[in-house]
This record gives sequence, C-alpha cells and structure tokens, in this order.
Amino acid sequence: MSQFVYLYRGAERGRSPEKMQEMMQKWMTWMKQLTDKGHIKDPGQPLEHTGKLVKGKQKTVTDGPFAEAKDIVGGYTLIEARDLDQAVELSKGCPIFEVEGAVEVRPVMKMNM
Amino acid sequence: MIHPSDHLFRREAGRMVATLTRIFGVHNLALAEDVVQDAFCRALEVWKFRGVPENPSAWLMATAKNRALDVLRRERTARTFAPELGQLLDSEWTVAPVVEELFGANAIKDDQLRMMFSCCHPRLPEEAQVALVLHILCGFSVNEIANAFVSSDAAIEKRISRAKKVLAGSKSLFDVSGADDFSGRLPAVQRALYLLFNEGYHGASPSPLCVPSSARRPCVLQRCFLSTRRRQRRQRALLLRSCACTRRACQRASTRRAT
Repeated sequence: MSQFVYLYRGAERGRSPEKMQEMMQKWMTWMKQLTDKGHIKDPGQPLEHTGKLVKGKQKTVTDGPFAEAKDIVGGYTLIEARDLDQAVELSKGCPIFEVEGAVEVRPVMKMNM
Repeated sequence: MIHPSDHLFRREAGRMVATLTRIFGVHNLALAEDVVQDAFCRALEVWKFRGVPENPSAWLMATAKNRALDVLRRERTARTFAPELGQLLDSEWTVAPVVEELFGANAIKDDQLRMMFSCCHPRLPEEAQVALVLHILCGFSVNEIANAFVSSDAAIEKRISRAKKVLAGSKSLFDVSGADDFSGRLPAVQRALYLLFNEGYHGASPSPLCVPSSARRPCVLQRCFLSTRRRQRRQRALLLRSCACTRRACQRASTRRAT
C-alpha cells in the first residue's frame, strides 16, 4: 500500500441550511465508506481560509487569501491506496464535486533507504 | 450522525438568526444572516473531518456566539448595534456576559417570539409575512419557499427582499412584553402560524421529507409562543389542533414513504 494526500480545494457559500446539512451528511457517508474499507490513514484537518504568506529572500509577509476562493485548500486527508489510479478512483466519491470544488491527489514521496 | 429526518440546520438557523438580530439590531439583519452562514460553513468544514459533535446544536450556538463577539468588538466604532442594549455592548466589561446571557435557552425562545411578531409587520401583505417567517425563523431557502408556494424563485426572492427591507427599516424588533400593539398584531401572527401549518400539512413541496418537518415547525414556534406569560385561549386551541394534525401528517408521510 502507498500513501496519498487529498487536498480539498474550493469553499462553499451561499447555500440554504437544508443543502448544507445534506452536504455534510454526504461527506460523513463518504468518509465512513473510506474508513470502513481501511483507506483512511488520517482523516486530516480543516484549514482556516486566512493566514499569512511569507515569501522570498526578503521574507516578505503578506496577508492571505493566497488564491481565488475556489482554489484555496480547505483541508487534507491522508489516504492509503494500492496505487495512484486507485487513489484517484476513490476520490471520485467526494461530495466536493457537487459544489464545483476539486480534490488534488498527491502521492506521498517514498523513501527507499 | 444526525438523523436524516432531523432538520438540524434549518431549526438552528432560525434560532441563531433570531438571537443575533436581537444583539446586532434589526437594521443589521443581513449581518446576522452572514454570521449564521459562517457558523454553518465552519460546522461543515470541521465536522466532516472530526465527526458530528455530541451536541451539534450547542456547537453551532457557541460558534455563532463567538463570531458575534468578534463582530461586536471589531465593528463597534463602524456600526451601531441594538439600541436597546446600548452601552452594554460597547464596554469590554459587559459585552461578554450580556452576549452569554442572550444566548441562553430562554432568551433564544423570547427572541424567536420577538422575531415572529416582527415578521408580521402590519405594512407587509400576508403572503410576505409567511414567506419571511419561513425564511428567517424556519431556515427555508428562497427556492424551497418557491416550491412550497408553487411560485418562481424570482418572485419569492423579490417578495422576501422587499419584506426584509421593511423589517430592517422598522428601527427595532417588536417589543412583546410592553407594546399595546400586541393584540393588534396577534391575529396576523396566528394567521401566519395557521398558514405555515397548512403548508406543512398539504405540503406543495416536492420532497416528502418536508411534509412532516414543516408541519412540525409551527408547532415548535407555537410552543414558544405559548411560553410567554400572555397565553391566549385561541392560541392554545390552535396549538392543540395543529399538534394533532401534525401527528396525522407524520403518520401519513411515513406510510407514503413505506409504500
């Protein structure tokens, strides 16, 4: 098994309470499915949409947001899967696609010492 | 997990917006709605990673409360908040305890009642009053109300935004305890409750889940209505009748779902 990180991009706003609750239920269901099949190494954490960006030799500090709202990483999950193909396949169940969001699937680099 | 038939977000939306409007003042209704939206976004983001907390309703309320304190502290100089709370919100000595108290269970019930009477503003036509109650106190979106009224989204949007303007322009929330106007507004409130209930019972909304839920909703509102000191016989009769009908509606909906 290899490890992968899912980076969730895109924030949701302006939806009715009922829709938000539906969305939450879908996330819980999806997370539970992955957990039951043993694919979740670490469910991860949500990230604030604010923060600071420290950049360059000058170490210039600027305020977030760093990107368009739709590109901001809102959280991550550590996944275990056979290979990249399976990790991609598993990500397709994520409810984030219903709100035009995206999942970035990144293999964790393996150290062969 | 939240039970699918538990419309937690809808219910809490009404409670949060009623209390936040009481704190921010009715002219800041839009700000109160933003804070509610924020609380839901936060819940969605945190709960999907860490699971639903043991008491989700308390979690949402605490989030709204903290956010309200942030807003009060940050925008103290730029905005005026509820005039009747006045300086209590300006001073760092009093702001936290006052907000804490206003987020107490009984205070929230009073705020829902206050909001109910405020929505039944005499300058608003009946259908606007009901749409406003559904939107503000019952957490229904424009689209969900349009479905219930068999109307277009655009028409309901217009109706609600006009009604909100009237509400926000009414200087302060309706004073339930002292106003002579109480009995003047009471028939409108009763009518709204009745129409709300009727909508729940005959449910024009396409989702069968909406039927028992929105029929239960006025029941909750009516119960909070009854909890005031000024109980009225007509109101009690209406409550009892709607509770009985609600049970029937729930049974009907569950048999419909089973078949």
